[in-house]
Order: sequence, then structure tokens, then C-alpha cells
Amino acid sequence: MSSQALADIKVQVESNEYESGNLDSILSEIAFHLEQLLEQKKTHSIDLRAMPWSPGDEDKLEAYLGQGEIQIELNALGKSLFYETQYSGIWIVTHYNQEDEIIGKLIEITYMPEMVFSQKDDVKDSIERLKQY
Amino acid sequence: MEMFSNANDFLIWVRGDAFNIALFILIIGIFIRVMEIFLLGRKKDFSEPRGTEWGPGLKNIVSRSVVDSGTFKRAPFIVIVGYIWHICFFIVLLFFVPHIELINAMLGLQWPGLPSQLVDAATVIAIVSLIAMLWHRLTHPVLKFLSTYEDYLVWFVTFLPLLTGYIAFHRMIDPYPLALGLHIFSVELLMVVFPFTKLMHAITLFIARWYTGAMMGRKGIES
Amino acid sequence: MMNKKTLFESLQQQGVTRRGFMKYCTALTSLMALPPSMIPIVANALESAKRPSVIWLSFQECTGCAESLLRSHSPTVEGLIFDHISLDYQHTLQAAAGDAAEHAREQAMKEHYGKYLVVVDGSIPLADPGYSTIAGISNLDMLNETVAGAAAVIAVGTCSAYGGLPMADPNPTGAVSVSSLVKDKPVINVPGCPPIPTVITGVLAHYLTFGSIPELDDLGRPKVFYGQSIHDRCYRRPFYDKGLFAETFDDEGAKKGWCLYRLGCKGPMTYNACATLKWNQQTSWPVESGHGCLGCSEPNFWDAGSFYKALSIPDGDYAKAAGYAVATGVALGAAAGFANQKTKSSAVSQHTKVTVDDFDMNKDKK
Repeated sequence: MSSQALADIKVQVESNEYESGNLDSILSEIAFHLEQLLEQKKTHSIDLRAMPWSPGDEDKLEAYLGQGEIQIELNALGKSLFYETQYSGIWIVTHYNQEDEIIGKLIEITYMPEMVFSQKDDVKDSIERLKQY
Repeated sequence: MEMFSNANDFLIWVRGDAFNIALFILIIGIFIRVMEIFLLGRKKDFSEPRGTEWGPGLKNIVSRSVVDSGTFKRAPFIVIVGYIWHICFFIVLLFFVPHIELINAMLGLQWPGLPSQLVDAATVIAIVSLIAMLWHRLTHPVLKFLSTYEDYLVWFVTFLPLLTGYIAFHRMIDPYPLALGLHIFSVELLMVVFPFTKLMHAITLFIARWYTGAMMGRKGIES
Repeated sequence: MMNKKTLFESLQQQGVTRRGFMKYCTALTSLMALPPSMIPIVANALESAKRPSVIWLSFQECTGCAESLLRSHSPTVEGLIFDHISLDYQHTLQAAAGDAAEHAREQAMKEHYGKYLVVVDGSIPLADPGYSTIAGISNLDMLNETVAGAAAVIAVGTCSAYGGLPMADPNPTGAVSVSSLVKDKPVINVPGCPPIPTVITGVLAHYLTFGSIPELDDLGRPKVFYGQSIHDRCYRRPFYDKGLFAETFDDEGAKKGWCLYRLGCKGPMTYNACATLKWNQQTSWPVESGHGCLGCSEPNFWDAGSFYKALSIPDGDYAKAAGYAVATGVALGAAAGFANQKTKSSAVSQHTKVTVDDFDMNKDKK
């Protein structure tokens, strides 16, 4: 598939001497919302696709946050990956469509991404189906 | 803005026809003024020269930039603020990269620019010093008495490009093509007014200083 | 042809779970450039949203805008056509041709009168209708006829939004934009040459989700996508501020990714979302690939001067103007100079000597 071939190409950022400063600002934003989560139970999401990134910024952010203890895969209208980073309460969520192309990428600051929980509508539907047995 | 359907139209006009018209008037005006001066000539000096003309003339162009203590004592405000204004103005004019691009395109000359923040600071100082000089003119009784409408016109057309440039750089007017268009247009106003007002001092000062120096040199006087 | 069910119902029928629906809403919210906090609101709206009928008219255009849309991956164009909207007429994409195609347009107009969306790409020639016709109908007639029953018009691409390339000087076909003809319906301009595909779908998705048109700027563009300039969102902006510029396309500055202002980048005057949404599935965008912005989402960008001239450089033939000015200046200067000399010499010739006698007060009495 052409999209995957594209992702396979190793893109090297030519300049290493330049720091965009984007990492600083997003990390402090994340830290602020993490405090809010602890103190006021407020969850927050950041749309990573709406960021004016410099080349390589997103990779740097992901490398900095790292992989934590838990990873969840969801299959609904294509794959979705949820994993907690090394920083507890910070999740990275990637949604793919049926063609395995990324259609959404977010940082979620939460104890558990909402979509992981069983959904009420689906539970109702399950009851219906079980009763039909 | 009726003649323009949008800000881009205005910017296109300002960068095109309007600039050509302003440049045309500026050049014609400067030629008329300078040729008038030279063609009028000077009375022939029949006395025996006691020194050379060119060396002292050129030296005088530079040396007159240093203020003599008498002038400073009489008008310290004008000297200090005048210096600050001129230095900051030339920093803004000659070291802002978009301006260098313009000069390079027109004259083929190029030099390194300064970081925008430095130019921005110089702009603010230039704006403040111009306002201070207007305030001084309006509050000093003698200066106020001597001032004509031309003095205020000259102040205004000099002030506008700085103000609009500041606004455009900080993108304080939306959309940006309008902000940039207003800035370039204000410079075009300055270009049109330049040859026919005392703004011409930017050119005639060299002629006047050279002549004074040359005259003194011929008489053998150190200047 | 028209699905009477809501989008949510049709998804449910396809066996899509609530999780799937929420995921769909997440992608859609991102697509509309709305913050993730809007996801529940989008979900709420989509539960009752009906698929709008869309009639797509192509006038004086190059099909680049449709090509751009076809390369929209989130969601895929199939998804867009079958889930989001009911694309009832698009003469490049539809299977039907000739009378059958035109019939589909007429039927959609009749069935959804007052409710359908019209998407237009390309400008409309007014000099002579013969420049561009479809099924023997002039572009102007087809636009007027189709827009009459539309809920709103989306002008996709710079040609339909502002006239674009066909309208560029000397505008041989007398091309005009959609908004200069359509005055009694809301017109959303989605300019760009072509527009970013996700912006096209994002605007359609906004209408689908909220049933309303998004907030527009002075040039009729949705603020959510065109609210900020390329320059303001450009990752190379810090170099502009520091005064670090590439001067050729292969110098050290270009290799280090410095600002492209000197190479003619029109980013400062261009309002578009390239810097954040990017192109080709967020792979890159013009400035990231090392070329300055052309300003393609701005009116008259074809007439705004060379793509490779810095924005601060005048665009006219100033060398010619300066040449004429020097010649005229020399002539006028000489004339003024000689006139002054004449005044001076006549003053000298009329000069009379004054003697002490002239000051004798009693001279006259003598």
C-alpha cells in the first residue's frame, strides 16, 4: 500500500542545531492538564494533527514520552491504538481507518480513555442480543 | 477602498503602478532641485587660492556630523533626540531584511540584515523620538512661532511609514495585505513629498557641507 | 437515491458500535479543525444529522480541485460520498453521462428543493457563454438554475472563489467568481489551488454535522481553516525573526531550513491551513519541502507578481519608470536651471548703483 511505503521512507531532518521550542510548550501544557486531572478530575485531549509542528517534532515528543505499562488495541471501523506513556495519566491515541491510514491522533490526559470503557448503548444492545438466545 | 475589490488588489496596486508613479516623481523632483542648485553656480573667485578645495570639502561632509559645543549648549534636546532619531531611522531603513531585499532589487546592493527584534526596538525608539520632537516643537515658544505647515507635513509623512511599518510587522491590522499595502503606500507619500520639502536635506546636506569645506579650504582655513 | 435515515442510524445498521461511532466523531472533529472538547457535541449533532444532497458543478476549471478531494484520505472519498453526503451530480465522477446525468441533477434539485448543497469548482465566463458549456447549457445559466433551490453554495478552489487563473490579466473569457454572481444564498469560499483536501471535506462535514455554515472571514472563507496566515503558523518563523534566510534554493541556509522570505515566500499575506493540516496525509507542505508559499488561496494571486520575488519588492517595471524619470528630471532640471540663470542675469543687468546722493532726503526739493 502506498501510504505504508511512504511511512517506510526514513526521513532525516537535516538540521540538528535547530530547536523549535514546540516541545517545551506542549510539555508544559500537558503538565498543567495533568495537575488539573489530579486536583479537579478534569480530563483533556490535544489534537496532535492540529499542531504547527516542525519536521521531527512529533517524533521527538513521542520519544520523550516513551511507552508505559499498558497498551490497548481496539477494532472498530479500523484499528485504534491506545497506550499510556511513561508518564502516568498521559495516553497517546491513534485512530486508523480500514485502509490502515491514520485518521486521528491525540494525546489524552485521563485515567482511562473514554472509548476504552464499554459503552452504554453497546451494553443495551448486548442485553437485547443475549435475551434473544 | 471603492476602487479595490479587496486588500490584495490594493497591495497589487501599491506594489505596482503606485510605486512607479511615486518613484517617477521622486527622481524628477530630486533632479530638478539638484540641477537648479548646480546650474545657478557661484560667483567666480578671483583671489589666489591658499589651499585645495576637494580634500577639505570631503572632510567637512564627515566632520560636520560632530556637534560643536556651542550648538549643543544652545539646543541639547534637538541634538540628542535628533541623533537618536536619525540612527534608529537608518537602522530600520537599512537593516530590516525586507528593506534590504528592496534595495537589492532596485540597486543591486546587498548587506546582512539585523534580527527583527532589534529593528523592532529601533522602530519604537524612532517613533518615540519623533513624537518627542513634535512635542518640543509645539511647546517651545520660539520653535512654534517659526514652524510652518511644511514642518508639520514633513513630520507627518516621516511618521506614517514608521507607524504603518510597526503595525504591519506586528500584524495589528487584518488582513495583512492591507497592513503591508498601507505601509508601502505611506512610503510612497514620503517619496512624493520628499523633493519638494526640507526633506531634501538628506541630499543637499552633502552639497552644502562640501561647499563650505571647499570654500574654507581654498582660503586655507582649517574646518 | 436519497437516504432518509440519519447518518447514525445508517452506521448502526452497518453494525458499527458506539465505540466505532465515537471514533468516527473524533476523526470528524479533527477534520473540522475543532478542538477535541467538541467531540461530544459533534456526536450529539451527528445522531440526528441527515445526509445532504450535493450537486457538484464544474465550470472553467482544471479538475485539480476534484483530484485534490479524491486524494482526501480521512475519511476516504468513498466514505465521504456514501456516508457523509449524497453526491447526486458530479460529471467527472458519476457513471451516468449525457441526458441521464443532467436528469440526475434535475431530479436531485426537485426532490431536495431548498435543502441541497451546491459545490462549484471553476470560474464562470461572462464575455461569451460559449467559452464553457455543459450539455449545451452555459455555465451562467446552469449556475443560476441550480443555485435557485440551494441551501448554500460552496465555492471550491480559487477559480470559483475569486476567479483564479481564468480571471488573471487579461481575463480573455471575462471570468468571474461564484460570489460575484450569487447574492441571495450563503456562499462559502474554500480557496486554494487546489484547496487542502481535508479542508474541502471539513467544510462539507461542518454543514453535515451542524446544518449550518461555519463562521467566515471578510473574503468568505471559514475562519477555522483560514483564520491564520501561513507566516503565523510557519515552523520556519523563528528564522524570519532572527534574520536567517535562504538566499538560493541550494545554499547553506536552504539546507538548514531557514526562512524562505527572500526567495519570494508569500506566507505573510496568505491565509490557509497548510502549516498545520499539511498535504498528502500530513506528510509535508510546500514550505517544509523547501519552496516558498505561492499565496494560492488569496484573490488575484496570479497577478500579484513573481512567485520568486520577495513580498517587499515592487512588482511593476520600476526600472523603466526610473529611466523615464531620470530623462524627464534632467530636462526639467535644465529648464528650471536656465530659467533661474536668466532671472539672475536680468537682475544683474537691471542692477543700478546707489550713491550717497540717493540717500539725501532733500534731493527732491533741490
